[in-house]
Amino acid sequence: MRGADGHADPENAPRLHTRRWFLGSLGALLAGSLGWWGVGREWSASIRSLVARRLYFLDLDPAGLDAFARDAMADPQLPFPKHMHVRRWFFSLYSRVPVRLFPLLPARDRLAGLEARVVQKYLLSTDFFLQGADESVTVRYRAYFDPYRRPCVNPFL
Amino acid sequence: MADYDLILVGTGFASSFFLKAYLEVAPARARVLVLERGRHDSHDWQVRHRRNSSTVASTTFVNETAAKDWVFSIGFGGGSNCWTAGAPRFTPDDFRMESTYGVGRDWPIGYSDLEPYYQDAEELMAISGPDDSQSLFPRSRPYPQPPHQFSRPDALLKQAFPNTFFQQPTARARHATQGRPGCCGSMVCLLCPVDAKFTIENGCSHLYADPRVTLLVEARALTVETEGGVASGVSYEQDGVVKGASADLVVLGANALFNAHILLRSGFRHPLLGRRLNEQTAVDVRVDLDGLENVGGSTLITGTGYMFYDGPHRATRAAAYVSTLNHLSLRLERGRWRQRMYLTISFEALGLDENHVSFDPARPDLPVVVHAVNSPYVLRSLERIPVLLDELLGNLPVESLAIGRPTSNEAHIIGTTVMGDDPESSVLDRHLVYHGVHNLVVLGSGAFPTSTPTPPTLTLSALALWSAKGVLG
Repeated sequence: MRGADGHADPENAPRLHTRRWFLGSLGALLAGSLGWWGVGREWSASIRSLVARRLYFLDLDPAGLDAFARDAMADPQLPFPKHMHVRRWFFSLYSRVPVRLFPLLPARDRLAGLEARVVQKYLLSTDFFLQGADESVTVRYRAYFDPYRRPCVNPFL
Repeated sequence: MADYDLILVGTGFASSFFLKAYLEVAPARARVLVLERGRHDSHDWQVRHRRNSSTVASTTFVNETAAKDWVFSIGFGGGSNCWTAGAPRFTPDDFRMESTYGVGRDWPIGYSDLEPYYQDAEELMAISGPDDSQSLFPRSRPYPQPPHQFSRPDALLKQAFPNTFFQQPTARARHATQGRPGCCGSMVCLLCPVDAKFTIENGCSHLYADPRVTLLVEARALTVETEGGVASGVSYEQDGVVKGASADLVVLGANALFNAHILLRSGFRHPLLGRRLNEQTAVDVRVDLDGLENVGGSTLITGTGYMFYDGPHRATRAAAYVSTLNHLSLRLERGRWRQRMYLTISFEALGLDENHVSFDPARPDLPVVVHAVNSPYVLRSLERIPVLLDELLGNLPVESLAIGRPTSNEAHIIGTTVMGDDPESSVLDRHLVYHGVHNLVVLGSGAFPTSTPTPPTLTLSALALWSAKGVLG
């Protein structure tokens, strides 16, 4: 940066250099963190986060939640392709932050719909409704809810 | 050229029910050729692949109206593979719209003509239904199976509308039948995991195993051949080769797009052939309830409402038919998981001449489908949905409503070969015989002069039995 007369300002120059360095480092750190947070994560980790976030008020059996996330990955009806890194990154971010905080996000409705499908699948795969939807009891995974693999599983009849 | 007594095109409800009636009276030496353009994708195949057909239906026609979809299933059993198995009758006034309300057209037959055939079709499909709906649908015999169980919201609707709200008549078996288990409420009826809904495969396969019947799959009918005003046979394509077969009686039982297209391609030129294509419109509604749990419904669609169906309003706006659904869909709110219900409100359509199927010599294999005009008769009813919902749900603790957009299809294709007594204003006569060609029958909902808002399957099945009786004696 130069002064009004075109000469370099000896006082400001080092300070600006430091600020640039600081902002650049912060940006790189942020990008790196977000990248690690998203791309580095498996879909299954995001599925776990999403269910846990949405059902924060329930005591979810951790091993069962892991098993559900693995089974959900294999569900052809849910869109969790292995090589879609961008989508995986967004899903990872979203799994920890409610979509209502992103009012302008173009895929907002789709993400909200996916969340509903995943969380419903989870609840229907557990003993939650068989226990009368008692929110004080630990929720245990039974088997992945898929009417074509396990028909006639309807807790509301 | 092989010679047959009967050539039947298609293996859906209409064809199969006609075939059943035919085989009951045909001699032991009779020869029947059945042409099915799709494959036989068995129920096992469908469950394994999570779809009804190996043929993509949208590639089999040209849709000139992007906003309007036409959904159907191609293959052995046709629409029976993908239907949700709702099987209500039409009401007596549905058959006399013009004389009662001054709109649409009267059918050449009435409810009482069709009643015995409704009964037979219901018994063939083991329909489950309520016996307290006699005032709307007079019956000569009880339903073959008892009704399904209402949900809790249904029970409140029944209290509010005792004479117009009933359990839906359905081919989702209430109890196990000889060929299928009872419905266990998996709630995915487009493809039932346990095969509890009636399909042609689980209910009529024996017809196609009859030694008198030759079934060819992946055999697409091209034209109906005629000589001197009489149908003489059918040309069809199989394995890339065009073949022909002759017969004394030719029966088209494909859907309303293909029946009309085959006839147009064959050179039939009735001015109404292919015209008055129409389909019902529906709107889905999600209702969040305050403190009322939606439980207890024993199948996907449990209730049907006729409170906005018949009446003077039908002179100016479309009748509405209400269905209540029990999707396994949760309300993701603490303690309120099941305090939600779903409704579908379906509206009848009017067959307008502008909406049509045509034959394009440049694309001879593909029906060209145009649905350019929506009737104000339907639009006037759509505008009133909030009013209808206020009245319908007055007895329920409604917290909020979400009203969807009108659906782009109902998988019920109607019109294109309308029936009537006057050859000037109809394509088929009262027994579904092409006017002037005494041995050519065209089955299916293409013959309906008016659509009604209710599912058409039971009526087109009964109509096939009625047609067989009229044609075969």
